Amino acid sequence: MKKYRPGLRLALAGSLLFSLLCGTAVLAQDVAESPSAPDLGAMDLEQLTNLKVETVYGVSKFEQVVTEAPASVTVVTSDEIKRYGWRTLADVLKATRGFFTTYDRNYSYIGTRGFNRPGDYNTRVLLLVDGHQINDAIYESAAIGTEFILDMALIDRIEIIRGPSSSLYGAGAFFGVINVISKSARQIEGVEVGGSWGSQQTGSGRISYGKLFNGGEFLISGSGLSSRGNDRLFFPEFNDPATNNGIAANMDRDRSYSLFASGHLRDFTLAGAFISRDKRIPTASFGTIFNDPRTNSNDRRSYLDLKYDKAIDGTSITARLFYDEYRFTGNFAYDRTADDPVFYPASYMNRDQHLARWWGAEAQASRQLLPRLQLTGGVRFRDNYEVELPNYDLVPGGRRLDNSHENVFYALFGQAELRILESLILNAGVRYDHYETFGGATSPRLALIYTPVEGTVFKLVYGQAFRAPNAYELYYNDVFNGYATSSALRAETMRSYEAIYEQYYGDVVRTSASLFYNKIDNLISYQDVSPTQVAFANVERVRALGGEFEIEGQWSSGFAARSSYGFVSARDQATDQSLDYSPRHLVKLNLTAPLYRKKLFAGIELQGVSRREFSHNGAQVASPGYLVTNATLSSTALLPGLETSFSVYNLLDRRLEDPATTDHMQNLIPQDGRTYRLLFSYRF
Amino acid sequence: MPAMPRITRCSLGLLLPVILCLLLGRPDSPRAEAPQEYQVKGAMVFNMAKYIEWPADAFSGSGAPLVVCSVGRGPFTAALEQYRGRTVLGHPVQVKRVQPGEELGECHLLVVSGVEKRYLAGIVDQARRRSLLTVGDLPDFARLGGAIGLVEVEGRVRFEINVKAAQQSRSKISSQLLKLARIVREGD
Repeated sequence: MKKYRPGLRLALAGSLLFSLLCGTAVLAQDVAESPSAPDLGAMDLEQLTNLKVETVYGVSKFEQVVTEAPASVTVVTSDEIKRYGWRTLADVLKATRGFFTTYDRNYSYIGTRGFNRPGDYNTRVLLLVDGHQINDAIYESAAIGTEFILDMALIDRIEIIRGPSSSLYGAGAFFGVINVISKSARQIEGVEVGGSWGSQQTGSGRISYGKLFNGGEFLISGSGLSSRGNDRLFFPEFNDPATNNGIAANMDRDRSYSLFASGHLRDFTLAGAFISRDKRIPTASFGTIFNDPRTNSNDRRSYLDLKYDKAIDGTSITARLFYDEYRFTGNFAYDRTADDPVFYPASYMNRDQHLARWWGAEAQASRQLLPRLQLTGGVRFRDNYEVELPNYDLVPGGRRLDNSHENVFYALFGQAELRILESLILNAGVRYDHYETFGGATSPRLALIYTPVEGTVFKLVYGQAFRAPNAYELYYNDVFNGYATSSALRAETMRSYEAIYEQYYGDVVRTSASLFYNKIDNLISYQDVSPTQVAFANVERVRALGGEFEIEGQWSSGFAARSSYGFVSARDQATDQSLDYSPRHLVKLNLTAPLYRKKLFAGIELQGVSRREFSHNGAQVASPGYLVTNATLSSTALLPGLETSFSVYNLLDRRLEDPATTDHMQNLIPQDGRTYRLLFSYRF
Repeated sequence: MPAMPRITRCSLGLLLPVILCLLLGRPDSPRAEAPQEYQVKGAMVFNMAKYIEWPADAFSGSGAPLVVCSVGRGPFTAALEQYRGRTVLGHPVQVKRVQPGEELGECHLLVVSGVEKRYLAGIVDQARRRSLLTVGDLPDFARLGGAIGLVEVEGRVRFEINVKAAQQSRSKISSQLLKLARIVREGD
């Protein structure tokens, strides 16, 4: 294993400091030569409507949402996605204060607030697209990798809301909510084609069409991606001639295609999305045969969502009707062992063919009841009418386990926002969720938002959240009987305390500091039932104390910078040890600089994650800390309608490794070295 | 993966920000700066007053102030401040900040920006009861009951006018302004 080089670290720190200094100098210069704008007040309206404007996206655009929300919020814009060359939601989260991700070369797992449980499929973060829940009805997974349902080019902005939001959103919103807002036809009018080419024979294509018409608009888009991946992944644990000397050759292939359509007419918005993604699994997880291309996974996720949005006599009403589907097909190649039936061939396939279908409805109303009191209330109903988790061997007359379920769920919630004083808001919310599987849960949240002077915001937030056991945890079993079902699982619960201080310096710079303490009980984890069998159980209790600090600025010159530091100490109460997979420190730096007339930009980002310790098959191991640099050169409108970018990821070709779950033989999963991507889009 | 020699890596790490700095520090060619979105929106509100016919009793006298009230936070409401004191059709402009739910008695125009969407229905309803013309830049402002919406379309700020909401106000929007706008209907 390569040692962390202090020389390199110093060099990086030095260069960082240097660029910051230099940035400051540029800014000073910027302030000095404040542009003498034409007198807009003297123009008439027609002239004004024809004026090309510089749109502001950043610190101030979402000020209201960010300052008065009872949480710490980050807004990521489509411009940032372009300037930093982010390929997936995982890339976005890696650059976001207090977040990191782990990739096991099949799925990406979200780490936040000291928590990152590879293999939990992101059940503790709620992922929404335009308010529609993406977490599925089996694993409750928030898909943030190439299996995410929306092409990154179709994202208008992403709101990342930290802390428990169960009082509004229910079970999934344990550590936070990620709401992705799609572009509308207003942003893509006409035909737009996009494509990319990069390392590892990665290519993608997209075609989008948007149209505005009287009373409505319509957008449709289709995308495809194919990547050979890292076709010579080396795993020392398999370094044996019998297993190709530890080399997984051409086992990292990733292919997907997706469709998205949305349109609105008057007060109705109809949206539909579909993605199918195929991924080979190079890690030989779950004891499968090493370097066997038959081992792969397919995720298919789709939904239809009809939304009604209207203001009636001072009450704003939103209602939603939705239909969702999720299919997972996992193919696993195994060698015959003594435990297998004698008529089995020397090697055979085992398959998970999971399917969930659900529909539901929700309604929400909000009204100003008294001059200082805003009330919001709503109901939600969901019918998971088909949940199937069969596991079987693809051998005629082989073993088969069928596993079908159905359940319904409903929730009621309310929130009151009282302006006690001009500068003080009390936000109180409560939600009751009822599950057929384990019963009910009540989640309150109380927040005080204090703005003593314009630009200074203090928030105190207390929240309770829960996470319902999902179908996978409750019911999953396989033909090997390696998993025992655990139908008596209860919900995980959390009590969270948070203090937030945000300061705005003009429209340009913002700082944010927060301190949080989380008490989590009944955490659902694997537990050994017998030497050969595991089951989920409510076993762990965790206490996590942490803080985050961030400074960001966006100047009219086009220069933007954001830097953050996060610290967390998460401890397992039973063992009094640090929580597994939990890094204590996270550092981030993102810089954008205009190189030529706000048409050519350089974006550079640094992400540091400290050492992550964990126990793995009985041994205490760790993944080394790392600092990774990505750089992107992007251009807008060099030619009318054309946007291009060129990115280098892991610029210094650092060796990066993420922790592996106990489903893997190996402790560490190697990540990509230096890779490139060229991206373009052209609007006709 | 072939690792680069350490020297190369270190110098790369140093070199990149230096290049960035050099590029950054170089004064750009004279900047024909496009004005900021919110400066234009502010100017539009100021200018719009010229295209609106106020009822006879709207002003107490010829030199009485034109009161532009603004609700919400953010750069749009801040951009209005710079028109404080300038005169439109003989009336000095007064900019007044109001909170959701506050009385709107003396306002001639209500600018809505940077408020959460769920507040919008209440604000629009209150303005309607006061027969007050509203201007806002929230997405779908006009469709959700506001009178004049400012929307960004391909780098330009355009108007959307909800004729029904505008007619309910006591002020009349001139045909010149209507000609510049996209007409939006409310779905009722």
